[in-house]
Formats: sequence, C-alpha cells, structure tokens
Amino acid sequence: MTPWSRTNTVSEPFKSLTFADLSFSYGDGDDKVPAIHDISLTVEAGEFVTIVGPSGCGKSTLFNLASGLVGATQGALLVNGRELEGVNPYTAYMFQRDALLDWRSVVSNATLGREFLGDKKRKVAAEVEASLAEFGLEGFQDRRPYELSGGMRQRVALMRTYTTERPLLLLDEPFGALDALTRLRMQEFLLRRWDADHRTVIFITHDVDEALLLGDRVIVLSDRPATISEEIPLTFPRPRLIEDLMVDPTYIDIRSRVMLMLHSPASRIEETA
Amino acid sequence: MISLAEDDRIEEKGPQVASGRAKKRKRRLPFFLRSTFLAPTAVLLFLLGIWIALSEGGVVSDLTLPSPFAVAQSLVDDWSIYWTNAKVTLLEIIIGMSIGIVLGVALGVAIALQDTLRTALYPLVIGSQSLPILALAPILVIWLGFGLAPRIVIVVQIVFFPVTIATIQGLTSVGSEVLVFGRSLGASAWKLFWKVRVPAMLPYFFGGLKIASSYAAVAAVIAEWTGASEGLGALMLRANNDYNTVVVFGSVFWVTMIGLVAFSLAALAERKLAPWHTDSKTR
Repeated sequence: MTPWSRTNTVSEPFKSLTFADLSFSYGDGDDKVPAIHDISLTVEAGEFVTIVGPSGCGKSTLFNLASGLVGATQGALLVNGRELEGVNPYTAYMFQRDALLDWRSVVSNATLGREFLGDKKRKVAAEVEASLAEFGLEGFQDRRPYELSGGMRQRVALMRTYTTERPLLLLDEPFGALDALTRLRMQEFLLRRWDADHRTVIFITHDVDEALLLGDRVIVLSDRPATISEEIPLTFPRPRLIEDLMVDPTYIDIRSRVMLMLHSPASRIEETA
Repeated sequence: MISLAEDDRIEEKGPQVASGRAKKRKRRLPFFLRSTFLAPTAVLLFLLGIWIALSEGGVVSDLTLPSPFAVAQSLVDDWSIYWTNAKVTLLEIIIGMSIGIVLGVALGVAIALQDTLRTALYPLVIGSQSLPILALAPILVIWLGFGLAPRIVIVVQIVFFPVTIATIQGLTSVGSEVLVFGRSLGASAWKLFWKVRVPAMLPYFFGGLKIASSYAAVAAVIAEWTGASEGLGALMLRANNDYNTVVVFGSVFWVTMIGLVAFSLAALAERKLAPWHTDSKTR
C-alpha cells in the first residue's frame, strides 16, 4: 500500500470519484437557486484533472460535494463506485486564500491537518521538518505566516494539504491570488511535487493556461448553473514547460477553443442584455 | 526545468534578516531612552509645568486648583488613608472584573456560536448598555444592601460588554476556508473551537479586556458615589464636601494609577498570550 492512501477511517485505497448525473441547488422551494446542473464526471486515482469555468459558476460547490460536506440535490456522488455517505475520507482541500493560522509557525501550520485527523502534533512535526526542503521552506520552520511572501505561504498551505496523506487533493484556485511570475513558479513546483507520487488532483482555476499546463484533461464548465460544456484530454508529454507549450499548435488550438467557450459571443450578448 | 524558488527564497530572506537585525538594535536601548517613553513624559512634564505655574503663581486659588506639591505632600502624609480606601476600590475592581470577564466570554461564546442563543441574547446584551445603571443604583442598594455587592454589579455591567463584543468578533473572525479544511478531515466542532477559534479570538479578547480594564476603575469610583462609606470614590466625595481639593486630587491620582496598572496588566497578558498579534503589528 502506498503511503498516501493512509486514511484513518478506511482501509481500502482510493480508486475513483464519480459525479453521477449530479445536480445541486441552494435553498428550498421557490427560493431555490440551482448551482450545478446534471454533471457526470469520473476521476480515476492518479489523475490530474483541471476544471475551468467563469468565476462564480459554482466550481467551489463542486468541491464541497466531492468532500461530502454538502449532499447532492439530485443524482449521487460515488467513491470507489459506491455512494458516499457522510464526509469523504479521501479528500483534502487547499484554497486560494491560504488560511494559515497566524499564531502557528510554518511547521505547526503544516501539522494542522494531521492534528484534525487525530495525530499527535509532536509526531507529525518531525515528519514535516523532514519535508521542509522538498517544499522550499528549509530554514523557515519557525517563521510565522505574516513573515512569509505569498508564494511561500502557498507552499506552506500545499505542504499542509500534502501532509494529511489524503490521496485525493481538492485544490481550489490555489495560485489565484499570486502574481504571474510567482504563480508560474508554483505551477512548476506543483508539477514536480505531483510527479513524485501522482496523487489524484482536482484543480479548479479560472486561468486557462494554468488548466492546460497542469492537467491530464480539462473540464470546461458553463456559467451558472454549472454544467460540463466540454472535456478535453491534454496529451502533452510530461514534464511540461510553459515555453514549449506556448509554441505548440495543439496547445494554441485548445487554448482558443476553451477561451471561446468561456467567453462566447452568446454569453457576451447575455451579459449586455 | 523548475528552479523551484531558490532565487526567490534568497530574495525573500534578505530583507527579513535585515529587519530582524534592526529590531534587535532597537531593543537594546533602555526603555527610558526610547521615544515611546520620552515623548509622553515630555508632554506630561509640560502639563505639570503649566499646573505649577498656575497654582504657585497665584493665578488660581488653592481651593480651585491645589499645587501639585501639596498633592504630593498629601500622598505621602495621608498614605494610610488612601491605601485603606484604595483596598476597597481594588476589591470591587478585582471581583467586578473577574465576574465581568467570565460573564463576557460566556455570553460572547454563546452568541457567536449558537444561533438560538444569539437571537435570544444579543438584543439584551446591547440593551443592557442603555440601562441607566447609575440611576438604578439606589434600587441596587435596596436589593443588595450597603456592602460591596451593588458596586460590584455596576462594575460588572460596565466591564462585561467590551469583553462580549470582542469575544464575538474574535470567534467569528475565522475564515471559512480553514473550517472547511478541518471539517473535511473529520475535525469535531470541539477541536475546531480549541485549535482554531480560541487562538483566533485571543487578540480580539485582549483588545476588549484593555478597554474593560481602563473603564473598571472609573466604574468603581462612580459606583461608590452612589452611596458608599469607604473606597476612593467615597473619600473623594467626602473631601469634596469639605472643600479639601488636595485630597480630591490625591484620590484622582490613585484612581488613575489603578486604571493604568489594570490596563498594563491586560497589555502584558496580551503580549504573553497572543504574541503573534503584537509581533505582526510592529513588524
């Protein structure tokens, strides 16, 4: 058994996550606001799936369904082929806002997830200290979040998510608040980290280039209520470099297709109407 | 590929090391040479100078404004009178603060975390501050007698409010992300409370505590005006009736000192228990 399939509550390794004809609405009755409409999607273990969509289209709701924090209004969420009951024991989140705790050092922030899982802080701290270099944080173990730059904070947040050893990572626009250069570094860093153990990643972004650079396939969502407009496999060889992709005709073609889907003439007319 | 962020790390480290050094250099100055001490002292001495000029220069009569030297003389000579009364006032403050803090935190936690309790209690907590408690003081005396109790009630009523508001703000200051992160890992509400909400609350709590502790001494003194035979407020009132302005000023000095000490203790507790807050502010 690979080390990251350790999950505290289940012994079975993670195999797949399926949204089966899943819809979700906020509220009841007349106040019902549909957020997600009839999404069907399967993510297999070891895949890196990116999801792009217009902002506010319900992408984050998709994650709350995947983690089992909210239940589907219609359809079902399947884990390893069976309907999920309660909280998904395989998932760990990471957010755009790093949500680091100011009173904790870098190491203590990274141990937080495992403390939530019931591990003793001291035990996990040794583990985290050993992987500081891997996340480019050696020498910074005792720093507080407010002493770190945006990129470093996101690396701490990523380390915290990785340290949970959960096999399915839900990354919700994790680099969305970073400047363009730092974001590029973080994308390359994430790719390298992902290459080390190929944990399953679902990565939400509104940045088309980011989606195409990182994913094995990209899911394009429509405006609210979110439906899947298209699913495009990304077969560029790994390891990938942004400078290679930028001149790749297939990449350019996919990029403009996705851009058009997100910002179609129809959606423009709708907005002005 | 991927230079990780070697270079950006070095870049990041540079200015931090420098600022760390600057901080240390600043710390080496003894406190009485720091501008944070010198500036207010200068203002204080200036005001004292005006006071001396006015009273010693015969601009105003001793009865209106006694000379600071006379006040200082009284502070030394009548030490035991001040101290006897200060003990009573201190007791009211200590008991009132203790009850006020416990009540304030309890109400804050209930209001911040429980919807039904919030609906039930929040309007009452806000309303309690419009209560003309001093006007009700005679009734408090009828209910609770001439002892410390009515005065403690008044201190509690003044003190609990900033603590409650600060507690509510602190507990609800936690971003939803870290809570979602925790819940998805199966963390109980209890665990999220202790590991996330309570530490996040501490800086807010100490902010409220500092306000409360600076009000407490004034609240106790005013409470004593409404009918007490001992305490600095009672002493002040008696001296005022005797046109003994020197003792009035002496009592004011004592009350001010008690307020300052209470505030300093709260600020000290903040630095010890929520150092990340003061650190991040002075960074």
